[in-house]
Amino acid sequence: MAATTFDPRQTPDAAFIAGLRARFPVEPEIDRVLTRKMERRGGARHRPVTLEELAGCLERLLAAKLDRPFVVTETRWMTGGSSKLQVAFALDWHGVDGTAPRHVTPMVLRMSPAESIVETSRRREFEMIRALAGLIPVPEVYWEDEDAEVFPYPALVFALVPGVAKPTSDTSQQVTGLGINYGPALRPVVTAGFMDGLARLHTADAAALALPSFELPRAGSNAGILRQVAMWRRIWEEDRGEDEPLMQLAAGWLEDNAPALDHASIIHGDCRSGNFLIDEADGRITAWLDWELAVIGDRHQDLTWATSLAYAHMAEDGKTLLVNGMLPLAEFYAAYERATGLTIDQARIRYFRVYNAWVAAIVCIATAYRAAKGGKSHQDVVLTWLNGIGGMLLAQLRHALIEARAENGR
Amino acid sequence: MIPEIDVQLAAVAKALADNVLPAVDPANPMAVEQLHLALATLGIVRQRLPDLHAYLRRDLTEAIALAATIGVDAGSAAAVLGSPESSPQRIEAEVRAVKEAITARIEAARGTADEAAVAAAVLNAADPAILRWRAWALPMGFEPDPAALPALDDLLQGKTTT
Repeated sequence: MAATTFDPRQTPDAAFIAGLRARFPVEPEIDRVLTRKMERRGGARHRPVTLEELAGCLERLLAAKLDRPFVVTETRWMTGGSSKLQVAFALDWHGVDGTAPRHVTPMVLRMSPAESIVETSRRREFEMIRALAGLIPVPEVYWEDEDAEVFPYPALVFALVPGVAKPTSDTSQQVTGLGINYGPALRPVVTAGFMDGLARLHTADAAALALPSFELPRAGSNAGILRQVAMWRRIWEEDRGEDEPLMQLAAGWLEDNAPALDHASIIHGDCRSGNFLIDEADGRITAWLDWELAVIGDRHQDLTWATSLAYAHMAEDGKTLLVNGMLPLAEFYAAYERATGLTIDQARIRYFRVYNAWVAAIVCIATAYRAAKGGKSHQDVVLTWLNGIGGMLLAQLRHALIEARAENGR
Repeated sequence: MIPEIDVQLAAVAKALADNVLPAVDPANPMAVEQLHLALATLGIVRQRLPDLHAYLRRDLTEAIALAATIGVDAGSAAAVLGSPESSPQRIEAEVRAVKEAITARIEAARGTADEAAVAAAVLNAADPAILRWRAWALPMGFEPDPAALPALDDLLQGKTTT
């Protein structure tokens, strides 16, 4: 065995990229995005962009899309999250088809950096948000530039929805806003809205929605979840620094124990407090956000993500743990079953606890590391900071894997 | 060695905190947030740099032990570990090479009579390495119960596991 400091992932050649594509087949749109990432890996670092430059791009996009006069004003940076650049602005216009009286719509431009902590398709995000309009509260989505024809990097434009991700009474300080405390007054209303939204999402007929960039897995087969595992295995192999035996063990276990799908649901993919906005006055959910990891799959994926300890906190009594800042775990599950009419299978819960811990570790240990190493994001210092949570995520993975292996007998 | 690396890092942190931070536009929240994180990162690097060599040596010691347990040839790893001339970079490269060999063994054991024993060894070996990572990253503030973690010095000496 010859130790070397050469890192094939930092400047991957065509054979390396083709090898991973062949080993880990994924959905076509995801394959396109990941392949593009790898083909550009050895190229330029993320180029800082100014508000003025992005405003100019917006002008060009809108000039191509709109027939009537318009004005872009109030461009400003938005903060929060560790993934994408976001700019808020106001558009004075006549609406998409030019028939409305002149009015002002607050909007958001969401743009990928050169590489992100999660490399995803703005096109899939656009399709999913558009498909969900009328089903659950989502921002109206207007345009996507997945091929970066107008913007420096892939981008999406949608309506700015009023609301807050966490109430001003919650003073906790974390980089990505984990573990939100809604407080005893708002909590029941937020919980009811969350369960209602999740029920609409998980029971919707995904086949009836316009989602051309998504594959629809078949109930009775485990091909869909195996596809997702292949995607994350590929991402791990594209992005990791040193290998990690525990991650390999988990990957093999997830393949060997993949459950057949019993009901195809729309899965948010990062389903938790903090990824929806509320009206602070009444607790009503005004918009579900951050759809970049959405897939069609198994509802237990969202359930285990939402009930992760990372998003839990103690109630006011100091002894009752509230998952997702909402309810004790058993009550959370019961409320979900009542809202959806779907059952919760504990074997699948155990499976997706392993899956989610493994995915979170890939994001924070592998992709965050790789993007920062190449200087590929607008906030590499945030990404290296998030590497610090890697040990905790591996501890969570090890615990989940031990528990699941004991229950499954392997 | 003049200047010591620690003095250089301290000087950079002081320049950023005393002179750059007050000049940053408070209306640019990304700049403010990233400067604070940069300062915090510099502080952690200064705190941890003296222990880097010991950390990597412990990583390699445990990787060699796991390799032996599951029947993986660790190649030159023991020689690198035993040499006082091995740089941190050399040790780190050796850790990576041994871990690559271990993961290949895990994959090869799937579906064989060895699978359960290999899995048990990997899960067992992961415990001290994870604890060490968590203790190393403690100043970053992610741990919900910092007092529950063993001391980093003990973990670097291989003294403590859960």
